[in-house]
Amino acid sequence: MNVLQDESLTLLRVADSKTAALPTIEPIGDSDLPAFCQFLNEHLSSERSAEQWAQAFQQNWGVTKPNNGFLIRDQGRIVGGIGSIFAQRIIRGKPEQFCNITSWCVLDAYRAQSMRLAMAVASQPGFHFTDLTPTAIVSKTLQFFKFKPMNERHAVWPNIPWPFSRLRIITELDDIEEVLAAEDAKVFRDHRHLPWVRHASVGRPGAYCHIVWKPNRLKGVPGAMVLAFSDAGLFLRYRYAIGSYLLGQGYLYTRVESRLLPRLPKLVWELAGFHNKVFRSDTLTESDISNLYSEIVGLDL
Amino acid sequence: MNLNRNEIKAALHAKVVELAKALDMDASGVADDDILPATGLLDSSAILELVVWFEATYHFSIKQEELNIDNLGSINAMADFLLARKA
Repeated sequence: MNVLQDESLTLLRVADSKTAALPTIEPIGDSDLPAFCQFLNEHLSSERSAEQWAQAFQQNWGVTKPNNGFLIRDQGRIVGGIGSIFAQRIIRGKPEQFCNITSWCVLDAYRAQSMRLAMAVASQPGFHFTDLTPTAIVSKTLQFFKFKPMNERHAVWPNIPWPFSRLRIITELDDIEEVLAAEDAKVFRDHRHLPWVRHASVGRPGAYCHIVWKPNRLKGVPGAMVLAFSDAGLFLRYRYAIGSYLLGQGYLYTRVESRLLPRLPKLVWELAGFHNKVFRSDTLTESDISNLYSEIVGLDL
Repeated sequence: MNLNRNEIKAALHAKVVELAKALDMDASGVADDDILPATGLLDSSAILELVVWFEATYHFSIKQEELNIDNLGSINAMADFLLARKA
């Protein structure tokens, strides 16, 4: 049982009854989404159109979503909100439901309502919660709601030519799925429509690893940010072959969050000082928290 | 320092009112068992400022893992937490 969920639901109602004049906190239904995304476009980032925001919330990732997040409304006007991307993932053979919090934006005049808003989101039962792009203050705020910070370091290694590998590297989208195990193939299918995300199947018959990455830059140097892999052990074992392939594509280093690795390989350096991504779960650990099924891939960040 | 529960709660109440006032909110009616983040009277910065003040005023340190709504979510919870730590 999660104490926060039960208590906060009850007490939210108490607080709401005592503060009738406060702006309302409402779930973002599908019909609210265009207006909420327009709000995000106007107040959070004009680099993304309202339609691009909406696409991120409209993924079909295997779960009946209860909402698209929560918003604050004052006299009919949206004055703040938190978006949510819902997904179901299979972890150690068990289906797990996730609520990925993203795009938290509250107008200055209403910032006292931001904690009410966060409580509304974090009080929903039955989900593991993640925020993978928090600002420092959001990260700290969510820790108040019992979110845990994750290791924020990134491991980086140079990609070098590696002519010794006999591994197959498949990057044609129509061919990637064929060699993957059923669960990994589903993960690929769930993400193949996102044009800014790159995929590869690497390995040999019976031992293929699905890797997902994006182009990246460190001090102007092009590299590959690996967002996820289907098997951490295989990914480490195949890293020279993967690096050699990436080098051939013009990417000079491989970068991956240290928390996703079972161990740091040799000849690796770590970058530190990033904001802590946070999650809240009674049963999962930080290595279970994927960048997939989130705004990391749902938006072209 | 006198660690009388009612005095602790009164001091907390006064600080909440002060922090809320800085946000143009009137927290004078906040009850000891109200969940502070749910009242809409304090924003996240004010909550964290309250925690910092709480530590400094009562000369104790709150660990990262203790910084949560169970321990610090209401005036009652904060008073109980402090008294337990000082016991």
